[in-house]
Amino acid sequence: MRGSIVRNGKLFVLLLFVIMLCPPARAEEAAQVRIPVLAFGADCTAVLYDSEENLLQVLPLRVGETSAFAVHCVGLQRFTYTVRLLDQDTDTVKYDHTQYHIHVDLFYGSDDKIIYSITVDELGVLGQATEGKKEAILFENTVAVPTPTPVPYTYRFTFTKLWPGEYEDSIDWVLYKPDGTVAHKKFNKKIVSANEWYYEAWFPDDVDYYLIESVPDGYTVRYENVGEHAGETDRCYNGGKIINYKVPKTGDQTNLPLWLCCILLGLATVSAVVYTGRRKKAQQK
Amino acid sequence: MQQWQPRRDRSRRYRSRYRRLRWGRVVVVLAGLALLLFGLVKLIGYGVDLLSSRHTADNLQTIYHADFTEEPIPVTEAPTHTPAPTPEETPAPTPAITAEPTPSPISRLPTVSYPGNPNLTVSSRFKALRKESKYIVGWLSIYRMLDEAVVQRDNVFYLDHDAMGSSNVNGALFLDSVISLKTRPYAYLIYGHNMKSGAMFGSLRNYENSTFYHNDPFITFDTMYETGRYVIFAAGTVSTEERDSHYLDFYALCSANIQDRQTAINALITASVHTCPIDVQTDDQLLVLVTCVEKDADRRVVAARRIRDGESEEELKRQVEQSRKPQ
Repeated sequence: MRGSIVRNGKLFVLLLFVIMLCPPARAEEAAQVRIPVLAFGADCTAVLYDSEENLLQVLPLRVGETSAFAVHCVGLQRFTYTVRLLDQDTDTVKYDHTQYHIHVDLFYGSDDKIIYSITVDELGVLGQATEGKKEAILFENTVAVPTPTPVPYTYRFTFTKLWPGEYEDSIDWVLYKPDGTVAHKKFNKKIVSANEWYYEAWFPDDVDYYLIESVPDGYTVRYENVGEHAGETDRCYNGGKIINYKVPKTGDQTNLPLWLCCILLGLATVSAVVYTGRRKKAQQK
Repeated sequence: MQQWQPRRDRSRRYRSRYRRLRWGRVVVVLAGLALLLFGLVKLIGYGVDLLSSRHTADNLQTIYHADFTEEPIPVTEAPTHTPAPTPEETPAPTPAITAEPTPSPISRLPTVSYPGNPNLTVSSRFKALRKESKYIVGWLSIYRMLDEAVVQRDNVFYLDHDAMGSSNVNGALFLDSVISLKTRPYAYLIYGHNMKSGAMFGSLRNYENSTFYHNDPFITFDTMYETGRYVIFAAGTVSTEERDSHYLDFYALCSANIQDRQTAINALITASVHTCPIDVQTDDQLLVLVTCVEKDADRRVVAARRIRDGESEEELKRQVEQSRKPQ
C-alpha cells in the first residue's frame, strides 16, 4: 500500500474507508460521514481539521484498533478535511507522511438518495506537500448503502451572526449543554452577506444547548433569543442572534486650526525669505 | 602673483558661502510653500466638501419638498402583525413591597406593521428620492436647523460619503443598519457627524441649551413608509462603555425586550441635561439622534418619542415650558 511509510523502524499506515451513510431525517442534501482510521506500527493521535484549519476532532489511536471521525456534510459539493498523525506523548509531529487530505463528495445516487465518495491524498511531511496527487488510498465512487439504523442527528441548532457596521473575519465561541459543560465547538457556516453569517449544527439529542461568544476586542455583544428564551441576553440559544456592534464614530476629523497654522506659517516663512532677500539686494546696491 | 592668491581664495570662500546661503533660502522657501500648499489644499477641500454637501442637500430638498399628490394607500389586513402578547400578570403570593410592577424577564413588545400602511407602500416623495439614491430611507427635519435625507446601508459607508454616495468628509445622516423597516421599528437610531461647521449633527449641541430646547422641542422624521412627529425628552451625553456611569446600550432601545428598553430609556433620561417633563413608555416609538463628542467613548444624544394619538403639540410644549420653571 502506497500510504505506508517506514521511518525509525516503525511502520504506519493510515487506513481510511467508508462505512456508512446516514442522511438526516429531514429531506436535506446532507450526510453524516464516518471516516474510520486504523493505525499500524505504534499508538498515535489522529487529528481532523476542516479546510479552514479549524480543529474538529481528536482521536487517540491504538495499534490495530479502528476508530472513526464523524463529520456532518451539508450541500452537494466537495468537502476537504485534513488528518494529521501526532505522537501521542508529545503531541508533536514525529513521523513522515503524517498528513492526509480527505475529500468527501456528496451527490445524488440512482435512487435519489444522497450518497458520497471519499478520495484521499497523501501529502507527506507537514508543510511539504508532495507534488501531484498521490492516490495513497482511494475510495473514489464508493457508494454507501443507506443505513437501516435510525438517523441520530435530527436536532438542529442554528444561530445568526450580525455585524452592524464594522465586522471581523472570524469569531470564536463555545457551545454549552444546560449543565454548563462544553458540548461542541464547530458549526457549518454560511455567509449570507459580509455582515450576516448563518450557522447550523445537528445533534442526536434535543438538549437546550446555548453558546457564549468570545467578544472580539472593541466590540459589544448582544444576544437576541426567541421563544422561551426571549429576553435572555447573556447567551445565545437555538434560533437566536449574536450581534456584535460598535456605535459609529461620528466626530469631526477635520483639523481647521492646524491647517490655518500651516497656511500662516507658510506665508510667514515665504514672506520673510523674500523680504530679507530684497533687503539684501537693496543693501548691495 | 603672491598678491592675487589671497584675493582668489577670498572670492571662492564668498562664492561657496553665497551658494550655501542661496540653497538654504531655497529649502526654507520650499518648506514654507509646502506648508502653505498643504494648508490651502486641506482648507479648500473642506470648503468644497461643505459646498458639495450643501448642494446635494439642496437638490434632494427640491425633490422632497416638491408637490406630490399621494396615492391613497390600500389598507389591507397586516400580514406580519402579531397580536400583542399581554404580559401575564402573575398574582403576587405576598403583598407587593415595591410600588412599580417589575415586568417578567421575557416580556416582549409585539412585532407590528405600519398603521395604515401594512403593505409597505413607498410614498411618492420617497419614490422620487430613491430614484436619486436607493439608500435613502427617511427625511429628518428640525425647524431652522436641519432638513436632510437619511440613508441606510452599513454603518460605515456614509461616514465619508454624502447621501448621493459621493465621497465627502461631512458624510450623511444614516439610520443604523440593524434597524429593519420591514416592520415598524420601536426606535430609529440616526447618526451624523458632529461637524465644527455646524453641518450634519454639528448643531445638536444646541439642544443642551435650555432656551433652544424649550422653544422648539419637536422633530419631524418621515420614513418611506410613515410620517412622524416626535417630541424631545432627553438631550445629553452618554457613554458606549459599560463601565461608565452614563453608559447607554443603544441597541437595547431597538430591542423588543421591555426590560432592556426601560433600562435604556432610564439611562437616556438620567443623562439628559434637562429635567424630563415628557412621559415615555416602553412601547413608545423613539427617535435617537447620535453624534460624537470630544471623548472617544462618549456620544451626544437627542432622544425624542413619537407624539401619541390624541396628544397635541401645544400641550406638550406647555409641559416642556413648565419644566423650565424652577421646581
